[in-house]
Amino acid sequence: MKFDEYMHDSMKEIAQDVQPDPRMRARVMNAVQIERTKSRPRRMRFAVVAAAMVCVLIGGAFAAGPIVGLASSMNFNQMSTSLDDEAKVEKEAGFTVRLPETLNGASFDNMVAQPVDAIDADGNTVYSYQEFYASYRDGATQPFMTVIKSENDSDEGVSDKTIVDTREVDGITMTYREIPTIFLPPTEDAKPTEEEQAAADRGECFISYGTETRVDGVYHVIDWDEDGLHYAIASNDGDWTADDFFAAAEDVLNTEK
Amino acid sequence: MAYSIPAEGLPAIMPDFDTLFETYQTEALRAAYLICGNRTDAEDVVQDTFVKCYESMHQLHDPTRVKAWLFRILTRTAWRACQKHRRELPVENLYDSQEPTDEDASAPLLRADRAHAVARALQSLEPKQRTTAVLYYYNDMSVREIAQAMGCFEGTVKSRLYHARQHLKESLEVEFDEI
Repeated sequence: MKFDEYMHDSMKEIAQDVQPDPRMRARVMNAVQIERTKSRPRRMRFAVVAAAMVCVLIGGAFAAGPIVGLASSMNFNQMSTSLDDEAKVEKEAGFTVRLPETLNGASFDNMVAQPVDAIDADGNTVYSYQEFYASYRDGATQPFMTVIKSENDSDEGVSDKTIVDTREVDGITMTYREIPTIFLPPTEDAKPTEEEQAAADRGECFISYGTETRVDGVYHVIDWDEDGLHYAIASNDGDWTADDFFAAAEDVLNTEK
Repeated sequence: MAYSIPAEGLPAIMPDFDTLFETYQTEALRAAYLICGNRTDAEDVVQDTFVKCYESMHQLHDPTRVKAWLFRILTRTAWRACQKHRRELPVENLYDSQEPTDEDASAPLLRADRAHAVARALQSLEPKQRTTAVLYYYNDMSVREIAQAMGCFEGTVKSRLYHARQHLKESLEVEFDEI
């Protein structure tokens, strides 16, 4: 038997008993419905951390490059759509948060504790941490809130030019940014212009790959630190103004833990 | 009117999401299983893949690229799963494999033995080589289709395929001298 034929037949043999579970369709459709309520990308922050810091974090166990991105892996099966599950989700996250029922009028939709991987240029996971994620619904805007321990946050690589407004609320400094986003197909001929790449290098815009065609947008985010936790409320596009984001942030501050 | 994508042909019009799911769910699940090495990850990969497809279907305007587009999303999702779980899954659990037993009849024994050896050899490939081999041997995709699916040049696919073949032959010869 020829090698190609041998491999073809063997792989068929390996996979032949793997049939889609009837529940898989339900899982997918449920996940699609949940995903519709969220904006992507969930975290647009550039995370550029020096390699030396990486070595400290991982104990120098293996050679790794600077952190160039963050990747979260959401488990839809663990996603909760009831505020009654807050304590359970907080336990998974490892910390308690201020979780409002509404954000500037947007209704709570779902929440989940999910691991976030800090990855280097080769796609290696250098270290991980937990993120509390909650999404809300408000017409064209689909805001979401993420909470992580402040020690895991890094604004390095994001230009201050993206800051639209900074305000002091109850002694807490809140920063609102608008970051242009460019999504490109992962093909060789889909490249940003030199000007766009230079802006990205300066931390003034975000370029990502994976869409079928080029998509330009704006990522809105307001963030602040409180009691050792870093809060961020964000949306991809939508029609909220800066005032809406500050109002949403105040809703969080006015919520008891 | 119901529309289905010809299995071996190119769709003339854009399929809706339900049609896309029904047409490719089995092929996607099995490919993900071969790439990831276990069913749990494969199901998660397929779920994530179709969710991403749903999100970005409006951006796909060329119906002849549906399969390549879907598999591009699938392969990237699978690589991420491979990377995440490669240190968590014992080798003996890969492909839900079980050593052939003496009680098996000889023909099934040979097939099971062969599949077991190929499964182990496949898993010893690095993820992008393994993906290339799976798309080529299992999904019967051409080099051009694989290049579209993996978002790389055809030369890169040929190179990965060449090295995958070499590695697989070397691995399998250890256990199957008659090959």
